[in-house]
Amino acid sequence: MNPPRENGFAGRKEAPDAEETLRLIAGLPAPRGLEERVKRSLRMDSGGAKVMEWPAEFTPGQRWTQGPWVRCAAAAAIVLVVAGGSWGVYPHRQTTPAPKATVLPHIPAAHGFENANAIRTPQTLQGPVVKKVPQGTGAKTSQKNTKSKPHAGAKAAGNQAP
Amino acid sequence: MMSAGQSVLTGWMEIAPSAVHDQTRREAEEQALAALVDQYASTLYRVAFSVLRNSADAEDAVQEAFLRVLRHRDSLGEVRDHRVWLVRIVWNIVLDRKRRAKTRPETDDVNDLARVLPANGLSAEQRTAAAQHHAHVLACVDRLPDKEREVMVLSAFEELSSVEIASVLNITESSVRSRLFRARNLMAELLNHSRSSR
Repeated sequence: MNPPRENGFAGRKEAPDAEETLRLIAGLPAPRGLEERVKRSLRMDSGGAKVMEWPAEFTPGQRWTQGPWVRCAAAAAIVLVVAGGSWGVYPHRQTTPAPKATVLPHIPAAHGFENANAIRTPQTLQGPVVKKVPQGTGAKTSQKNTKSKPHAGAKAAGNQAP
Repeated sequence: MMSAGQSVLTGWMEIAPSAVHDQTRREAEEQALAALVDQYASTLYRVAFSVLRNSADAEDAVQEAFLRVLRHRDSLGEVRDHRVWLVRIVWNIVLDRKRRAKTRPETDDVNDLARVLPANGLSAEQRTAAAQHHAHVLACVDRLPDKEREVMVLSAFEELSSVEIASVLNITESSVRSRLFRARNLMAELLNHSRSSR
């Protein structure tokens, strides 16, 4: 006879067939020697794990890390690895060149401030104005004057301000 | 006199526990593990067998469970209830195996069930009839949804309370009760349907 149940089956007068069958299977005894076989497999596994462990001279109990030379060599190796790794990265670093000229984007004129197609003409100096000399009378004298001295009136006209 | 750099290196790389302490601790862990095997191997086997229904597979599952414990023996001290913890481990193992295998359990065969189940002074004919009945019931159990089937299988273990079943399945106790209720109704329907169709 089964003892009183803790998990809610105890109070049922008519236990269903399924529960009876499952209870029957759950109550089957374990095979003989199960514990010994499990312990043996555990021993084998722990023995196999020792093969993968560090050799005896490198186990933590031997304090191999207390030797000053070993410690210095380990520290130097770490420094070399870090420095070498950073040096391997540095030459491949690409710096972006500074722009030589600043290109401003084209901004379209806003409404209400357009130039209405007006063209600005810069202020320039007016050219010299040459007075017309009457033909026939002063042709010879003008040729002479051009060779000897410029005319006083022409000089004044050439220097006329705009 | 030790230089400043040397003293920093010494503090950085020194390993504190001694070899003697490690040896003592390892022996204590092995003894604790052996005690767990003695105490709970039978329970774990029955849990595994109830799912796999195969003696060799169930024993393999128990061994794998304890091997997992061996590999995580450092966390043994943090476990509050070893029994529930071990049942949860073996439960996950057998569910995983059953999912992977997807094969018919060996004891679905009526002859195997007749060999495994207790005779209780029955005649050969009665034993065969009982085995056929149990095989039919187990076939109906296998047709239940996973959640309901798992609760029903675990609730058949007298040593597991509903709180412990909830802990094994990582659900609440009320979920255990509601799933068990649904499982019973579904099983009644399945069995009635099969009886009426005969």
